[in-house]
Amino acid sequence: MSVPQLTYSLPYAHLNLRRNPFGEFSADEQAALALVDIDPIIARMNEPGYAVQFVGEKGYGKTTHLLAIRSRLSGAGYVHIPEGERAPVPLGCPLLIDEAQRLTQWQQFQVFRSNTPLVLGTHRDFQQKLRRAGRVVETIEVEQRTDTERLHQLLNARIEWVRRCDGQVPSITITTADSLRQQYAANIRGILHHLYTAFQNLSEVTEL
Amino acid sequence: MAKCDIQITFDSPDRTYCGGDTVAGEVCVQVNEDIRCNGIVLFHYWRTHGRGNTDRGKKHEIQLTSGVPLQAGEELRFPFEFVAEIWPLTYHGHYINVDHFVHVGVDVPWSFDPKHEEEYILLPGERPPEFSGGRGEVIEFEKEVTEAKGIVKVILFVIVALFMVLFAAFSVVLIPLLLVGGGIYWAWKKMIASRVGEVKLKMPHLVVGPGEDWPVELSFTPKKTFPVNGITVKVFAQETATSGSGTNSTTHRHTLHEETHTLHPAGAMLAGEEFSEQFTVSFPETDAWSIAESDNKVTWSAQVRIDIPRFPDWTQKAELQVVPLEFLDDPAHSGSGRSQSASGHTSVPPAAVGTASRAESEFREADLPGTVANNDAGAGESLAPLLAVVAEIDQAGRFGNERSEIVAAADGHTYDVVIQIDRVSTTFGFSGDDDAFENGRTVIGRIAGSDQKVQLFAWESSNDSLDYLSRGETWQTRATVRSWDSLYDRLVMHEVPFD
Repeated sequence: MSVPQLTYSLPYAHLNLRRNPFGEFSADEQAALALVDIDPIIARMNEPGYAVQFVGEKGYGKTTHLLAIRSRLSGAGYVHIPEGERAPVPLGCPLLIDEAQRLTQWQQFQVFRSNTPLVLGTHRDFQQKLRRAGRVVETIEVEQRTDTERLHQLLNARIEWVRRCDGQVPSITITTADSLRQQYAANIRGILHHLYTAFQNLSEVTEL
Repeated sequence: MAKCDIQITFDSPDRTYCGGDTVAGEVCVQVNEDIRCNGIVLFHYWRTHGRGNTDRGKKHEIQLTSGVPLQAGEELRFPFEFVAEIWPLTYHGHYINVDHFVHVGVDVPWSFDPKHEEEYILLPGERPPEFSGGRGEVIEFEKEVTEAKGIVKVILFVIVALFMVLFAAFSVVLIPLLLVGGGIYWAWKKMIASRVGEVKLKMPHLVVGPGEDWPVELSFTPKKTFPVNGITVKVFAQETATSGSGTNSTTHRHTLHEETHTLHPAGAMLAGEEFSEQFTVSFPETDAWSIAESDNKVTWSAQVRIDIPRFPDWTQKAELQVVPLEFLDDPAHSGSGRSQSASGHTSVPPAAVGTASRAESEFREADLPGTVANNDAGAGESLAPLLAVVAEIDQAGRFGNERSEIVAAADGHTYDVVIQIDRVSTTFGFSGDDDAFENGRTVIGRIAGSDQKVQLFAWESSNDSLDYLSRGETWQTRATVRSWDSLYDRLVMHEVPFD
């Protein structure tokens, strides 16, 4: 195997892009690009005791939902609890807690029993605990919220986000989106990785 | 329509600069609607993009203008100039890209800030101060890290203390486990050492430039005779990009380069016979400079392996640092005159280093015939024709079959030869047709009066005279040239009994 001779040109200029649209994006970019239906949830964020939990496997879009909600509500408090660590629960209304299954028992007791509207991203279903704490609970399985049309929009929005200048850019067809949906189900992360490799090998602007 | 459009142009049309160059250009702000502006700021910095989380360098700030009201239709132009960073250099790989950016933002209070950024390409220029030109150790680039605050230090101290307390509490279980693990490791190492003995591996250049001749020195004296499948060095380069964090993190790996060079072919290592060789491996041409950021890494390594069949292999691995040739004092390029083998490595026996030209001139001074003329098998030729053959072989290229042809031309000629003994050992695994060599001796030494190394297979009938010879003594016999051992740069000869 030989080392590729790298040419010095602007990155992805041959695709009229600035970078690979399916690489890792920052939290702000993820929030800006999120294609999630959060209006009904935003509308209920003034109800004391309301709690919504986004449940699903990793890579299915829980964090994206939380980041999109945070970007819409300036007073929100957000925390992502890293693995094997404890993180203080921030102040804010509503309170957004990503990886909520890592809250300590004491934190769960405190947070669930407060009246602050709550948004959880979690692998574990807290419905019963939240109800016992007097909460009105809505559970959203993120897997059910990714259809082909939404996926198609999401993928092309990413490409548009990294556009270099006017003119044509590569695009994902609805057929490709559908076949990716069938192959990876709601595993968005898997789809992004698949397309990352496809775009690395793309030599010209084309439809995929 | 955006509140304003921002354009960034560079003085270099291809946006290509070398480290330490002055990057200059102009920022043009076209105002589309009346806005209050707290200032227009230019930042320049480097950042990674690709499959991994973003690593970024320090943002350098240049204030283009302070707070001014901007009026629709107005066009503002701001020239800029700054000194480009030296490191890291622009890199466009598979999972990892490193780019340098100029970013301009218009600070609009209580509103979305119009902003724009453009990349420029940074090539090797000034040598980073971390490099002294030395090659013996991997250089760590100074990172812009914020010093741990007091509370963080306290937390770290508490974690370490807790870990020590836990270790003490579970020491009854942990210590025996550690002892067993350590014992297995020790036994494993001991088993390998029982064959290869103490292996000395030197990789004097841990900092390498692309396309260089990269030296490796290996020496050991086997404790037992054992076969080898070969001695190899694998040069390996990989991108490692980490995305996400915690249980959500995924590490993506992409192999950039993987090449195994054979330093020594399959054969036998004889007990007590020292193996001591210097090799040079042709390093690949590459722009994949070593990068060691927290979530994005380009790593190079070299692993030397003594591959022993049906036995644990001896291996040793070293991390290499690949940097542009511009950062090195003494680039050792392949074009230095050394010839290379097809497998990409050159074997330089220690004694031959620096002596090749001298030996060649000595041969010329001897006014030797250009070809081997005498084909009289009954009487051996003098030493001079043999040295002429050696000189021809030495001058021939390693590629192709030129050397084999020279040796083939000399095959069948008988030469009187005097060998200065280096060592005599029992012939092991002789692959020729003649059974008479199988129980004979193998003589390693030099042709007396020259630096030319020779390996001579002697007949069994010569055992008595050879077994009493020791290092430095000379032995005279008659022999034919059979082949050229390019690995050791030595002639391979077969003894011909005197009539």
